[in-house]
Amino acid sequence: MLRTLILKELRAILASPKFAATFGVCSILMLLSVFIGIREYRTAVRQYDEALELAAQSLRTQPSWMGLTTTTYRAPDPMQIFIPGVSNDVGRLSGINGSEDVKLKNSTYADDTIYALFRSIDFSFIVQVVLSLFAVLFTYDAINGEREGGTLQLTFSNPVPRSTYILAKLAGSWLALAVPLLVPVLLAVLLVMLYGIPFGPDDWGRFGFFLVISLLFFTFFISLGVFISTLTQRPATSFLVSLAAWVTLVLIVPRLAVMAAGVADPVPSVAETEAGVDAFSKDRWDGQMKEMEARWQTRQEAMHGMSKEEREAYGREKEKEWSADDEAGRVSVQKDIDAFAVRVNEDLRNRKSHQEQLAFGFARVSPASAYQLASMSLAGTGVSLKSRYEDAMREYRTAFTRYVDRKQKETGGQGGFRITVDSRTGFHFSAPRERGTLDVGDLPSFVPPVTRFGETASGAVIDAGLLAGFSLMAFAGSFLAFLRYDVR
Amino acid sequence: MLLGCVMLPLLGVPLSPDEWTRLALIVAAGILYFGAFLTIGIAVSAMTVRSSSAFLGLLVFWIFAVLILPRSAILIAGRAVDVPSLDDINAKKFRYSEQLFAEDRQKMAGFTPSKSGDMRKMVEEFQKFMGAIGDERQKKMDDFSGRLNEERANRQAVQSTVALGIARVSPSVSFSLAATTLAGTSLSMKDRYLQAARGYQQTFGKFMLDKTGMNSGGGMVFRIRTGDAEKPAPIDTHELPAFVDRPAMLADVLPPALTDLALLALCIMVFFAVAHAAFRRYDLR
Repeated sequence: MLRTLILKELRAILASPKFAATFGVCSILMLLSVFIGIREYRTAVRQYDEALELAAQSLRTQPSWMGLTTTTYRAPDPMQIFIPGVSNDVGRLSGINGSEDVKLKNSTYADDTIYALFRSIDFSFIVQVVLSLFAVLFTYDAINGEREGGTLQLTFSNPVPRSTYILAKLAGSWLALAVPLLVPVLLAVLLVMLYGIPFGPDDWGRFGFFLVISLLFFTFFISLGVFISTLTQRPATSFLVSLAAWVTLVLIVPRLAVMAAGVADPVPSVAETEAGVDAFSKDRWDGQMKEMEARWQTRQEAMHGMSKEEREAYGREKEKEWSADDEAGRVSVQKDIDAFAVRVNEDLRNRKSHQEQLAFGFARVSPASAYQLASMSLAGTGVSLKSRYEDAMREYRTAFTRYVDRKQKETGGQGGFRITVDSRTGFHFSAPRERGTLDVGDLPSFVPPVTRFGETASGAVIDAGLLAGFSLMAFAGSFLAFLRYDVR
Repeated sequence: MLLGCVMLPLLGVPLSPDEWTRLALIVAAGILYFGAFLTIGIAVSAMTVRSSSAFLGLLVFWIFAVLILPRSAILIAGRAVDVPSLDDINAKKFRYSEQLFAEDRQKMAGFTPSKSGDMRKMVEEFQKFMGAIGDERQKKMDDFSGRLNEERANRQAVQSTVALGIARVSPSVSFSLAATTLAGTSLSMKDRYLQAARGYQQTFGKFMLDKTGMNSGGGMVFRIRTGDAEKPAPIDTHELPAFVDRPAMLADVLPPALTDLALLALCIMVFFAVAHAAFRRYDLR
């Protein structure tokens, strides 16, 4: 019985123009999005490789170890083909040096503003917005449409259990909508393989889980459509209610949640925080300048009464000691500023994290938000992308500056070239490295943080559970409502 | 919409008459956009027999107009016009800068002061020499960077023109472009700000040159101080020229927005004509 009813439902949907429209639109959108995604990913990989080469070249050609700086880049992730998340909004690179904190800058949208104008249509967006809308379109008249056409009364003039009928309705709609999702998905996978995108087992695992949550997501909208159809008598009413529910869940709740969290837990802006760090930094460097002046005075006083030759000899003798004192002062100030910046940034991040959790908590009332959060978490392109990279880059900065300090001490070089002024012989230039390049062979290299299936899946499990819960609730609602439905 | 406009002054967002006019034009663009979809809806309804078919057709049209066309236009433009990436440009700049600096290091090593013995004069001479080669290097670098930036900006402009030209077939793109242009938040916002910042850079540079006799940001300064030297007074930063980012004015934004407003009006007219023609032949039974 169930099989017969499912096949009847499936046949009716597959022969309808709405199936053809859904299939056509979903196929075009998904293949277009994957094609654009592959193109952008390949461009990003090419740029990334070029940028790494440039950074390495820049390191080799710098005049000395003193003040050596480099740049680290965010590595493109193949999962961004399907779910770019915030990857186009977050900066691609950060400078690494001893005096500045790590900060990701030069996002794709900032570099090429035309892409920001229309944003990207990714796979998750298509499922979240388009497929859910089609799910509503498939099911808004599932029950009341049959009632209005008189076929519901006709069906129940036979010994058909209501539970079997509603199950068949849900299963038939679900299978019919799974086709427009799964066929383009298979073609997209083929495209990914044809273009030779490096998808490892972890990536396939993440992609598989992403498909599962996509199916869970549209299961909810199918169940919701059937539920609303069983609560209303006329298809026009159920369509209106379904559309209002879709707009509320997909468009309003996620934005409202962010606004509510912003009001409930305000966080100082990045500009305010940076201004605080800058003020502290300026204060400390001013203090350092005063200390240096005081040291200079002391040194001058120590040389008081000496002849010119004696002063020069004394200066030469003390040069290393003075230089070490000044350097120790500089290092101490930089350490204080770094520690202050770390404290302030950590505080800001904690508050932001709290605000984000609050916003996500509110937003999870909507299955659309739960789906978006789960998919971005799986792809590693969620809001944590920035902090994940900045943390890794900060760690690298510590290793890099430590290495540079050690190298500088080993080579004893104070700078790129030294200018000596002598009142009799004039100016003399000397460079520790007139020719050749710095040997940066043992320089620690930046390793981009890897997003493993296990980690990302555990982050997405809560949202996947929520989606399953929402679907179950909508299914139970439609089941119970239909048991009491007046089929006349 | 009206309630939103009333909320602005109540929430302490002051708008000038120019901004109110632009807001009114944005609302007008919204009404035109609404009108475009209304006439499209009527036209499709007049061409179909069943309401469900009309709805389906309109949904497909909406998806194409709002989602598919804009992105496809960018894809086509990206294929048609190749814009070098910023990393490419930076790599070229870096290589050229290295080349210039290597040349200058040779010059530095060959520097000999004309008057030995007088320390102050030697330092002055050296500063002058360093300033001259620094200025020359900067000029070469600026010319080179300017050429590369201009070339990229030109290619980007061509790419934008191609992309937007194709995308304007969609009324949602026309509305989006009209609204962002009128609000001053369109693609040209970045260029406008950069232009203002570059202008300020020149003003600032000239001010610093007049004030200190040297270009700011380049070269090196020797300060010879003795223990009994008087501490210099802090500088008066009030004299510094202030940066003013001139906001987009109605006169600037109206001409480019007119094209999109006209396209929306044309869309209404075309679909009204289609609806009219379809309804004249519509079977009322």
